[in-house]
Amino acid sequence: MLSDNKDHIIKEFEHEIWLYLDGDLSESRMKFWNENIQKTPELLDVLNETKQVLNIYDTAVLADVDDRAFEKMLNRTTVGGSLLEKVKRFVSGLNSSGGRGETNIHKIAFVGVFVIAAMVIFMLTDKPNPVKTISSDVFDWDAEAISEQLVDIHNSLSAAQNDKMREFILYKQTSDDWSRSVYTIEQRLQRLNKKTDDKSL
Amino acid sequence: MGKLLEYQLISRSKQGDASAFGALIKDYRKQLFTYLLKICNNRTTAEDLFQDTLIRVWSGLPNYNEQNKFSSWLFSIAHNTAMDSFRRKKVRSRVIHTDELPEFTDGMNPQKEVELKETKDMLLDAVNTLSDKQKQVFLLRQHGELSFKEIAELTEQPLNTVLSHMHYSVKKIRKILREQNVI
Repeated sequence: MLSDNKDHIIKEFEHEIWLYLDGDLSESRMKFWNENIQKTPELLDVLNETKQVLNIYDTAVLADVDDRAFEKMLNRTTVGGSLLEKVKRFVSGLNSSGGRGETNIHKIAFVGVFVIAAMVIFMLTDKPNPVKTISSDVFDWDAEAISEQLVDIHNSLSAAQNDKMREFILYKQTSDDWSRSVYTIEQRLQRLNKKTDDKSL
Repeated sequence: MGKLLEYQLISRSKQGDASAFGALIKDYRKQLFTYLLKICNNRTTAEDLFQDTLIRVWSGLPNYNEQNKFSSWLFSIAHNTAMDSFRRKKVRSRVIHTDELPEFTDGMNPQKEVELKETKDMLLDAVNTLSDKQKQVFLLRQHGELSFKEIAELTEQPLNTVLSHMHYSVKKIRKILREQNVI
């Protein structure tokens, strides 16, 4: 019976030993275990052996980073990290409540930077042309040649209308020439219509 | 390091004093590096994690609350840094073997060195057989000096579960040390 009791208390201590070592038990519980450890050698053995195991582990397997590597890491941290830290401090300053003037200045500066950046980006990027691009075929108008043909046709018509056959002969306009001229003009006008829209015209 | 000196170093570090920060970290350097080395499996990775941890600690100092124990805060950051890295790389943690650890014998006699190396091997083998969660609890306790309540919070496990993990881990290590007549 006493032995069962002892086994039970040892098992209980094995479970609570970690909180006992941390001092995280209540005052009364700490006092309970302190008294029992004094009275029960087996509890003292459990406590001492646990400490011994952990000490052996600690001393046997401790590792270290190289001194020079450590110094380099510190330099990288405090120099490289300081920029990150400044940004984080700046941003956390925006979120902080309280009426400090520095917070308002931070906010104004933050918004200002964004506005300026947006303006610069806007000015530097190509804007879409609101006017639809006119096909280069439109400029293949050969206006001079067409004008000449129109003048020829006009003169031919005038000559024909005025019954001035000589003038008509001079211009050497046959009916085929006339048809060809009219046909050419028609073709050009049709192409022009297809490739331009009403707005651009 | 005394609490007052640590407090002064923390205060100066918060103001951007790099040399104070170096002195502050130096006191935890071996424990911090050992923890990362054992949890991540590889010395190069451990050095990367150590660097990442230092940067997070340095940049997080303005938000550090002096009411909390500095070592607990430091090792919480180290643990989260390691876990973030594992999540990214999906690498299982494995305690590395002594071949990958530097010799740390401080000029002992050769016989002692051999004994120590054998003990190291046994201990690392024992820790290697633990589950990831058991290993995390054990290493955070041994190297991070976190309380079990802090470990429970950090690893998002109930306190009793954490205590069980620790109990099982130490029981395993104790068994091996007994078998080898170390204790």
